[in-house]
Amino acid sequence: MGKYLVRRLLKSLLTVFISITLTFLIIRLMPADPVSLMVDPKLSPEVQAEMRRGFGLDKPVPVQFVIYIGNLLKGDLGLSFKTREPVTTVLMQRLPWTLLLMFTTLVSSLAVGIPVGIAAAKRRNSHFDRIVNVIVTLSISIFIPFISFAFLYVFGYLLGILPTGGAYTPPPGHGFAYFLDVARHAVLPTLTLFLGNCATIILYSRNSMLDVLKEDYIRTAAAKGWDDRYVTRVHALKNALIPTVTITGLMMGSMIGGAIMTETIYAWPGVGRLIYDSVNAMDYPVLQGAFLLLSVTVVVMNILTDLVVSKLDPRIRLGGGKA
Amino acid sequence: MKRSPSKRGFVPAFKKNKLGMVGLVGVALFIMVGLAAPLLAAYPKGYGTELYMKPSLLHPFGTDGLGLDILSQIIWGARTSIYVSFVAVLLAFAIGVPAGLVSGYFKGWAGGVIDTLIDVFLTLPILPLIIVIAAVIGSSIGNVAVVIGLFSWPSLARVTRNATLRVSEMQFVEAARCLGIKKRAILFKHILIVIIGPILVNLTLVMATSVLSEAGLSFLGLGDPTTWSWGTIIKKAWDAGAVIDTPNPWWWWFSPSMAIILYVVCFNSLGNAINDALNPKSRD
Amino acid sequence: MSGKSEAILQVRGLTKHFNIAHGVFAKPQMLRAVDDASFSVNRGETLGIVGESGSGKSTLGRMLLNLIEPTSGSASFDGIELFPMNPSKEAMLRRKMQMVFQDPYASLNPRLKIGEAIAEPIRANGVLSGKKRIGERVAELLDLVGLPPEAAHSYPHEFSGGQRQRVGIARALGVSPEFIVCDEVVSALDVSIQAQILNLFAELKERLGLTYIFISHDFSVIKHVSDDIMVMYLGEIVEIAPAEKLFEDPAHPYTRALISAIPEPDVDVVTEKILLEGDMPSAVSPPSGCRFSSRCYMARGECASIHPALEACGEGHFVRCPYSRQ
Repeated sequence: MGKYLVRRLLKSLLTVFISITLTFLIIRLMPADPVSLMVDPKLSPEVQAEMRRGFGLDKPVPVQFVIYIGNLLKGDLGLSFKTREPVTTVLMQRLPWTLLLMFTTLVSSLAVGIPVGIAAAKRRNSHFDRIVNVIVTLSISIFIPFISFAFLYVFGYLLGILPTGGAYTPPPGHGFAYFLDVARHAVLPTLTLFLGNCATIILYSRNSMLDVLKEDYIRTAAAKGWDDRYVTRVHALKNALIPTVTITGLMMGSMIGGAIMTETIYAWPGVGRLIYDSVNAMDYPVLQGAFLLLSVTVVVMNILTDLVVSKLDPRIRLGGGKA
Repeated sequence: MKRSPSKRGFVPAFKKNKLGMVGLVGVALFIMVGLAAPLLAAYPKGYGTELYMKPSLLHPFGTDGLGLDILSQIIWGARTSIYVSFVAVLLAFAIGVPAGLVSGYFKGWAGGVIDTLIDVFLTLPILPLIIVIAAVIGSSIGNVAVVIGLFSWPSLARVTRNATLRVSEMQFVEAARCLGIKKRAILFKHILIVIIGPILVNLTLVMATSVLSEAGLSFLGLGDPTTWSWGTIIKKAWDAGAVIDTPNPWWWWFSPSMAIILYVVCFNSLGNAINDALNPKSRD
Repeated sequence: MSGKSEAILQVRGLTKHFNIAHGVFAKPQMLRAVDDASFSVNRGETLGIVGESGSGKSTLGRMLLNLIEPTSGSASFDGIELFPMNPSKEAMLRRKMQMVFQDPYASLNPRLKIGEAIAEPIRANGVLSGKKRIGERVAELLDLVGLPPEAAHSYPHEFSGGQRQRVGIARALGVSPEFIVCDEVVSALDVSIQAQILNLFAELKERLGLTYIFISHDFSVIKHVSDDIMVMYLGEIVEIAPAEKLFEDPAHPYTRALISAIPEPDVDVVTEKILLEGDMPSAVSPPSGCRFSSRCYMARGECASIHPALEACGEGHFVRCPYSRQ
């Protein structure tokens, strides 16, 4: 298992390195003036010149790369064009909100998706299964603005029972009241993200459960007369969960994409909304920083799911296999 | 002369799949509408006279905040969508298939490197990356289509690689080597024609998701302001407060959303039907 | 070895060890598939190679056609050294040495029409060019193997196993080879079809002056087709002899056991079957000494520690057992 985790860690480092390199290259190799992407043209010429030196823009590209990595390691992602704050500060203010949204989405998707998928697998081709399949097919490639608009229209406009934006109704309160307020605001964004993710999880749980149920060892256990629920729960479940957990890791990337749109529409103050605002303000340092942060977030979440998978999958736990 | 099931089955099996046939028809319709857009509707621009009109005979999908006919916008949006889909598919195919073939056939380090690259790109959050690139290089529809296409290759490469790994071990590949067939012909002729099925399935997926990405980008303001796209229509509706303010012209954002959903569902159904027809013994 | 014609293929010490270690940190483990194979084949004759699965016979055949790279040893065909291989040598040799494969269902690309499958190597090796001429050659080859010319427009799945095997033969003959390795070519066919295909092979050998190496685990098939026979066990050659000699007077205990197991159709003839105990040991760590000693019914004490060499025991007859004559 140690070997497996080391390999995954190395791959994670490589992923982060590639996203750093991509960001670096985008700025410098695109048909746009790299300087204007990093140094706010509205600053005074002296400050601009100094920032140019700080970024090493007069030096050859490989040197710039080294300086860039050095700055990254110091936590320096540059200054926001809009607010002149360090990008790192801005990002850190927003990150917890995005993490909150992703957490609630993940938990709800798994809590609903796995049981539904497994139930559908056990009742293959029944009415239940067919309905589930239709819902999954429709939800899996859902267009987030549409579903958010539908929710806002119904719950916000027509019924008026849920807030239509923000994470809380200002001013931010304290204690339990604040918690409830945030929770109320979180319902629609979470529900929006939940649909697509849950559909994916149902699909994978159902399919991997079907595969496992077909396996000979299950038929053997059933033939031996073992209680059906016991067979399912103990033997099939663990193995069926492995692809599902794996796909959760892979889903992170697209979940982030969904979060960007969701936060934008619901004015949820996370990194996604920040990206939207920065695009409109042409605040490039923040954009780049946001991409890097999101990449690192996804990588970390992947490592966590890998840890869970390695606990579940005996091939990895005991070493030997090329899992 | 016997007939083996896997070959006999495809077209009849596909035809049996009602959802797939519907998807096929839908896809064909979208393509035709998109190509024939100039013949079907006037290019919506400027101002109209009747703002926020409900759907009626004159304007089957209503009019928007500038008085422009929404149906025309949707027709021209279809044109954008199929443009983006085809560019994405071309790029994904041109990059992803060779990468998958090489990675699956050659067991050396080249295969491993490509495989790792595929993993890395599948992990990265692609939308933020595309946003950054689009923000930097400017968002003409050509740029957007190319950028989306450039990042569609990993999933196709993965599918191609997995299929190639399975097929490379088969005896007809060994026979081809023995018969002196060159490596390039083995990869791009022998292996490719056998694995074309899953590749096609993945390509339908790419066509669907590329339009979702483009719509998302347009919605976030990175779309091409000079072309009509379904995402742009929705953005305009959102900016004008059409969703939660009064008056509430829900039809403004409803029909472009339906267009997107239908487009995606048609391509997904088509892909699923092809997949099921290729694997008669599959899960159902 | 029969002395009638000169040797077209000479093999000296051909060896293949596969490294089957997992991962970067595991100890390297060698699978000794073929060890030190030396023999020759005369022009126009058939060398039958017989052995259980795992004996290394298929690996040996594939090494001769450069489908597997040997670990060590050498071989020459028609005076040309096969190893080390290079692209131009390979291109030339592919036109002289070909193979017909075991599985008629897997050795043809299911998506290619028969005509294209046969035409492709002709084109690829530059034997002929021009659609018309290649088309004529394909028709010629189909006729040679007993298939109708219309077959060229059909797909493999429209044919039976025996017919597909004929296609495989036609395909191999396209480049006009002189030498063909037949790897278990009838093992996947019904017994009734086997005879037809074996007859086809014999007929083609006569007509086209071919030389064969015929690999099989089925002794009765080998008996039917071979001029000389080579018996392999666990990667080693244990006996080589002209066919009649081998059946009259088998020297190696393994050969004797194999021959005694051949089903005898005549009910009145009583055969005494020599039963071997146990299974063939793993080729990863073959037994020390004589590799057959663990199953040999006449093994003595020294057999497990002394590795015997292949030695002559008659004219054209070699055996790897010092006690074979006792």
